[in-house]
Formats: sequence, C-alpha cells, structure tokens
Amino acid sequence: MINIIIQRLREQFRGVSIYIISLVAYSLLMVSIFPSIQKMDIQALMSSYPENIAKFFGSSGMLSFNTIEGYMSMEFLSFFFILIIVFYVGSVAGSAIAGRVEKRIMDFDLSQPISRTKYILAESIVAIKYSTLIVVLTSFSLYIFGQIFDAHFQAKGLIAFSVIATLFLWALYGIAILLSSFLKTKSSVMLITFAFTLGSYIFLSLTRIVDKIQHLDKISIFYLYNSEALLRAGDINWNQAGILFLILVIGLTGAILIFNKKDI
Amino acid sequence: MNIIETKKLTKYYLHGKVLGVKDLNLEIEEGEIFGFIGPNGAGKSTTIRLLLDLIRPTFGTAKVLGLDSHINTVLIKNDVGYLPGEIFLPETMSGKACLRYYQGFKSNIDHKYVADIVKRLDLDLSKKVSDYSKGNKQKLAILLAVMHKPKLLILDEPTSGLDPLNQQEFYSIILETKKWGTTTFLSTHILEEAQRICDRVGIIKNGKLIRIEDIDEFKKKNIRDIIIETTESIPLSALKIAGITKVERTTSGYHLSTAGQNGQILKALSKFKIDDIRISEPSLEEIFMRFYKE
Repeated sequence: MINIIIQRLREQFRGVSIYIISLVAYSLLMVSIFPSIQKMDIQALMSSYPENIAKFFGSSGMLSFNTIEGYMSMEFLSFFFILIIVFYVGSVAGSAIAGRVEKRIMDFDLSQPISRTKYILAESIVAIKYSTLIVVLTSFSLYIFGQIFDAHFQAKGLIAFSVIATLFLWALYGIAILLSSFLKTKSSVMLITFAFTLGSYIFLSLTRIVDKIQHLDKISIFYLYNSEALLRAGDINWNQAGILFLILVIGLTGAILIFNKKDI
Repeated sequence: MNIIETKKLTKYYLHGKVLGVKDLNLEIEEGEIFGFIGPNGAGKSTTIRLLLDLIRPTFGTAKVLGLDSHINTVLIKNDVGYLPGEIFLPETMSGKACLRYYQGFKSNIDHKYVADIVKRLDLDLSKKVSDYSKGNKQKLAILLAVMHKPKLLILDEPTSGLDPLNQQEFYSIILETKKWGTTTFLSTHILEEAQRICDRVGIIKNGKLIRIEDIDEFKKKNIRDIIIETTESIPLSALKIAGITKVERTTSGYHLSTAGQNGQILKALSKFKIDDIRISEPSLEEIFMRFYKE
C-alpha cells in the first residue's frame, strides 16, 4: 500500500504543483488589485444592477465588495476556486478505478498481493492529502498577500474557510470515486463530477431568485459551503462539516463495496 | 498437492448471454508446466482472470496453492507471478521505476536473480515504459512475473512479442523455475511452444475443456501425414485400413492422415505403383485443428 501512495504522490506532484502555483498566482493578482477595487464605488455599481442578478451571483445582502472577504469570495473562493480543484479531484478519482480499468493497468496491479480495499484507500489518501494541500497553501498565500497589500484577512476566517473548503473537496472526491467504481471511463467520471458541481452551484443560485424553489436550497451541496460567511465570521458549522465528511465516507465506502464486486 | 484446482468453474458475461468458460475441472500438480491450448475466444484468458480473482465465477470454485482464489487472493498473490497477454504497464514510469513499484508489493525479492534476468533478457531499464517496443514491454513483464521466484507462474501468451532469441531465453527461464519447484500455467495458441516446454496440455474450445493430454502420450499417438505420389488410381476400398483417418486426393496422388502403426498401410500401398512416398509428423497445430474438427 505504501508503494502505491509513494508512487501516486510522485506521479501527481508536478500537476499539483502547477495547480498550487496557478492558484497562488491568481490569489496574488486578486489581492493585489483589491486596494484599487476598494477605492471604486463597486457597491453603487452593484446596486444599479437588478436585485436578482446580484442574488444569483451570491449576494445575499451580507456580501460586500468593499471587504476583502466579500470581494475574494465573490471573485474567487465561492465557486471559481472550487471548480478549478474539482478538475483535480475528478481526474484523480477517475484515474483511480475507471481510468486504470480503461487503460488495463488494473489487471497487473490487482495481480499483485494487495486487496482492492487497500488499493482504493491508497489512491484516496493521496487525493485527500493533495486536495488539502492545495486548499491550505492557497489560504496561506491569501493571508500573506493580504498582509503585503494591506488587505487583512482574519486568520480565524481563513482557518474556518480552509477546513470547510477541504471537507467540501473531500465530499466531491467521495462522489467522484463512487462514480469511478461503476463508470467505464475516466473522462465520464470527470465530466459528471464537473457537471454535478456546476449544476449544484447554479441550482443554489436559482433558489435565491426563484421563490418556488427557495426551500430546496439544501439540496445543493453548495449550501454546505459559504465561503463569504466563513471568511467573515470564522465560525465552522460542525453539523455541516459532519455532513461533508459523511458524504466522503459514504462515497468511499460505496466505491469500495462496488469495486470489490466488480469484474475487471 | 494440487497447485490449481477448479471444480465446475463457470463464467458467463453480460448476464448469462456470453459464455466465458463452462464446468471447467482442472487439477494441476506442483512442479508441472501445464499448457492451456485454444484459439482466441476459447476461454483461456477468462480462466486466468478467474484464477487471479480479477473476475468472479458465475458458478463453481477455484483453488490456487490450496487456497480459495477469492477469499485468500492476497495471500495467494504473494506466491504468484503473472504475465498478461497484452502488456499494459504505467507508461509514465521508467523501467527501473516500474520494477521498483511492483517490487514494493512483494517482500521476497531476490535482487541477484533480478539482475541476472535483466542481463539475460538484455533489458534497458533506464528507458520509459512508453518508449519500449512491444518486445521490451514483454521482457519487463517477464521480469516482473519471475522476480520473486513465485510458486506459481501464470503466463498468458507469453512469447507473443518476443524475437526468436529472446523466446529461447524465455523458455530456459521457465524451465529453470521448474527446477526450484515452480508450477507454470501457460496459455498459448502456439502448439510448438506447448510441445516444447509443457508436461501436459489442456485443450479448450468454446469455453469447454475438451481433453487433457500428457504431452508425451500425445506424441505417442504417432499421428502422421503420408504423401503418396502416383499416377495410378488407388481405389478407396484399398485404403480402408485401420489407422487411416483421412484420405485426400491431390494433383499428384494422395494425402493420408494416419494414427498408430503404419505397417499395414505400407503393405497395402506396396500393391500399387507408387512414384514417391513421404511420411511426416504434422505440426501440433495441425493435430490440434483435427481435434477441433471432431
């Protein structure tokens, strides 16, 4: 099992490094222009738009472009950040089972003395480790850049955000690895994971503007991830955190059960 | 002890629509080299995948090294070396990294032996797997299969990508493993290969095991081709002799397929004006094809 973990860490290192560098660079760009944005009367511009547009893009009244938390959440962390990392999560989950079966590498791997359960766990440990690293390093860079450009984040807020964003990505990994256990190709796992993430976000946004479906907002997984509130208040809703963790556990357990019964 | 034992092993695919193997009963003893012969789609790879627990039987049981192939699969695989029919190894790794990765699954690697095999197969481990030719991938897979001196080798079409020189080296490696007690289960459609290294062969057709033959017994059947060149017409009644299994008219005479002693046949032919006669041993391939015509 250890050799699988070491090998996957090596294999993914370059890709993850590119993710981290890109996200850190984007964070630098966004934080560096914040002082200029702050000087503009963006709030007035926002209020000139129809109310529903602001709501659709996440403004629930609490959001403010004049604060670094509101600005970064709206421009980066509430969706764009997640969407980028979902490519990583979907890709590694897709490769873990469906991709390796598709490429027929799985035959030889499973002819080695390792159980299928340990095989998935080894793959998942790497995905969990790297997705955590991506979130933590991006958050840390935000903190540092905030200090440099005089746009101070609350450390407590960034920690709360890191915890929930990490759990959120773990939950998406849980869904993706479950898909990987029964779908036939890596690309289909990636596509469905991406579509699910995008669809969930759009659905939550729609619940804000369509009264008839307002009460269905809890259906969206994005209901459990409110980057702006986390950054601002720094409070973790442990029930929601628990649900996200549970999604990972259920997805992973389901994947293990299906994979153990699967003909390769 | 039987190293491989299957009882009524059956596998259907697509909810029973496609047959993989049916009612397969095999007993393969320790130290023997067993050839599993059949054309493509006969069920050879299905059997191997069942033994390795890559797929699960619809019915029946399989024991490998005396253990249930599903329940004890991890334990079994510590002592199994597998060479797949088509080699799919991680393309991004170098040969060396690939070797290191798969060595990581096993605790009983004989590094001296590994170095020896690398040398004998003339394998360059510094190249990336994606840059390897088919033959070099095959060599790497052979190395990965034998590196831990397994008790059981499962080889699926092992020499398909090897040049004649490396085929010779491969046969000598397999025969060497027999010396330290390794049992080999070899699936092939190259009958010459089976004839050369196997102790017994199982012939499989359409998912069913037709028969198991001791390779020496098989040879003793004395199956021969007799080519007769004659301008004379030989009546068919004169060729109704025990041992002649088939008579074919050719442009220059006759082609007889025979089994057993040929004395009576030669005696009968002596009554006719024969220009030339050639007696040859058909290839195992031809013998095998005759089985399939049965």
